[in-house]
Amino acid sequence: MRCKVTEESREGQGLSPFIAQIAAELKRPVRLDPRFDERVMEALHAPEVIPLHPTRQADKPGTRRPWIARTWTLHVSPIGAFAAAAALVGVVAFGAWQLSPIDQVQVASEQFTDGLTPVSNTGAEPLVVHQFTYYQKGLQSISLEGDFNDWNADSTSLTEVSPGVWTVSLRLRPGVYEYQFILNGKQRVADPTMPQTSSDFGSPNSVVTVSAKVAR
Amino acid sequence: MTQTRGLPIQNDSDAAIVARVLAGDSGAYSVIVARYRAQYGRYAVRMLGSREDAEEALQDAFVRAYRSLAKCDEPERFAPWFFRILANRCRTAGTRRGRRERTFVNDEIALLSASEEHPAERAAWREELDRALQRLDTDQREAFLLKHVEELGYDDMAAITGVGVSALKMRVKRACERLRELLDEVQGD
Repeated sequence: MRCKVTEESREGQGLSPFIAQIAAELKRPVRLDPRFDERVMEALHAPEVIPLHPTRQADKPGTRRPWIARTWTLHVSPIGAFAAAAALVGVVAFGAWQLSPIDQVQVASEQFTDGLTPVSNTGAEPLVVHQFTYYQKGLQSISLEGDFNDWNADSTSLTEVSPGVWTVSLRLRPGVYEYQFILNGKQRVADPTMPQTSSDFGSPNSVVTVSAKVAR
Repeated sequence: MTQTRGLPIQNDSDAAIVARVLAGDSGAYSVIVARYRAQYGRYAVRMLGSREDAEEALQDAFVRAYRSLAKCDEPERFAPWFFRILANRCRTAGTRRGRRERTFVNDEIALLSASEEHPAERAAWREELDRALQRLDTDQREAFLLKHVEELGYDDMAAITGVGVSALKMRVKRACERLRELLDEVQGD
């Protein structure tokens, strides 16, 4: 074993060093998929599973489906079936003769000359709300600095909205931004839940990709 | 130039955001997701030992909570209400995993934050610890994480798990003893 485990104290005398050491290790933040929030929001509006064989209303005793929803059985003789098929072929052939390929091209052309213009990106990309969150109990303050505020930690403070849950949201243009959190005004840390990259000052920066797709 | 002004909704209470969602602003739910993703993602990863399983359980819990939001009687206490849903999803996922006879998946999460001083040593210690944690019974692992990692009181744990305080105390005690046994075994190798 590479890490020494100290003796556990007696039951009832507080948290033993052994358990405290394990707990501290397990309290490390974990990194989730950067698209996790986006996936959840997409899943909210996904249709619920529809049963392949739902119970039909008409199957219940005492109910009767409308005529259009009822199952009908049609009995046709072989000669009658041949006549119906021939009539169907005739109708299709007549329709094809009436609508020539040239006519079809003309219809398409008229649609394009009807004042419609191709869609283009004529304006700047919209601002997207992105929420930064840091989770740690026992802190006095957390601020945020990054590419989006010229690395000025004084301009962006996080709010503790729930015990240990600190958050702030910014309106950003879609793009890739590097940032760090400042704990209690002095300790720089990366966001443990996001990808990281090396910085010029030793401690790594976190990287977030703000996508226009998540704008709501 | 980007705008850096915080939005009022981001600092709103859980109850206020829940009210917005119930009023039809489904996008406001993203604030809830972002707010609790890290905290409860950690719990799910520790419970299930795999990032993929944890993300699946966490996403499932968020979706179920959203669809049941009208049933959240105390929206100001959204977090414990949601935690109860997540704990159930983790238990279900753990059962499925048991059927697959997978005992432990050591993915990159365990190595992400390795100590700069002794990265190999720390990584090995974490690997042993995670393996020991996954060898606990599900009930014991859950009780241990709720008590010593999430730092909940026994009353809150009882509300989340639906198990009595006395039984929870026993589970925590057994989990501590079992972890010690398992880690002592490794230490003795």
